[in-house]
Amino acid sequence: MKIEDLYSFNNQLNRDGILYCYSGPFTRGIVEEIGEMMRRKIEKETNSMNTSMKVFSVFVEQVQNIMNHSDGKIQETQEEASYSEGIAIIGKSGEDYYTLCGNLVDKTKKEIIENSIIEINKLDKAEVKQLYKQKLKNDELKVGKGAGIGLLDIARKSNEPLKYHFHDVDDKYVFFSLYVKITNN
Amino acid sequence: MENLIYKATKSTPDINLNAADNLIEITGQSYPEDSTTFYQPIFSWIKEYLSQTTAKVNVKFKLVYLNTSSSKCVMTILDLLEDAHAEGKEIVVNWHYDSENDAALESGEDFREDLDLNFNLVED
Repeated sequence: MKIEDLYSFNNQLNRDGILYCYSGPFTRGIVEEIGEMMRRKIEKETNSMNTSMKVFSVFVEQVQNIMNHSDGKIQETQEEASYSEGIAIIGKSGEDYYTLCGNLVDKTKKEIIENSIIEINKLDKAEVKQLYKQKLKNDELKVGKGAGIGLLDIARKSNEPLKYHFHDVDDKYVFFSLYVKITNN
Repeated sequence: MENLIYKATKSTPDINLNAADNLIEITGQSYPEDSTTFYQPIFSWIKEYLSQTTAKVNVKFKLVYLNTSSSKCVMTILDLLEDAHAEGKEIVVNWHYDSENDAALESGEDFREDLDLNFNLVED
């Protein structure tokens, strides 16, 4: 980016109501710091612990999905741990909030991700809750991975269908974006 | 049996597993990205403790926030407690939540459903 372009970049972030935007490798510390700071800010703004906790939990699940599943990785040397890369945005739209996260995904996984979102979007609130509880109680625990119920939990916290987008990058990867609206209440 | 005590961090809760006092306490926030690795020693401790104890067991959860993989781990702990209860052990679980935090109450309600245990929701 050129130095003279930063001002318009910053203006665009403001215009889109973006409160926080992070792009790069995700670490535990980054999730904790952005998460806690954003939670305090939103609780102050809305005077609602419920809204701030919802935005916080959607953010954590989305970013941990990137950490556990992103195919965009940074690894300097063979001995070093690899970090998952992606972008995470928390923004405001009118009185409500949204999270928008994206990361590189291997093309072969596109269909699996897309189908699970389509299936979740077909369900009403009560059905999402039911399926979440069923998976919470019956699915096996996997070491080193999440619970596989992150998307369901995200859907529980939102009052709108999950919005997603895949952008073709090259022969091997697509860029997966997920937008989640959280109603302030 | 030795106690298992962890101090809380931003993303992991205070763990207080005390065999002499028959206490299992998990308090704080829980959202490590790999919860299973964090909770493995806790599962092991609880399993061993439950196999030995004859006393009444007091379990306290006070979790402001837990991510889905931590929820899965709490479910695993509750399964262990339920099995012990089925074998005749006396167990009381108290799930504490802040009155302004609906998500913490909802989690408690999710866990309580279909659970064959003395499980109380306690508003703080």
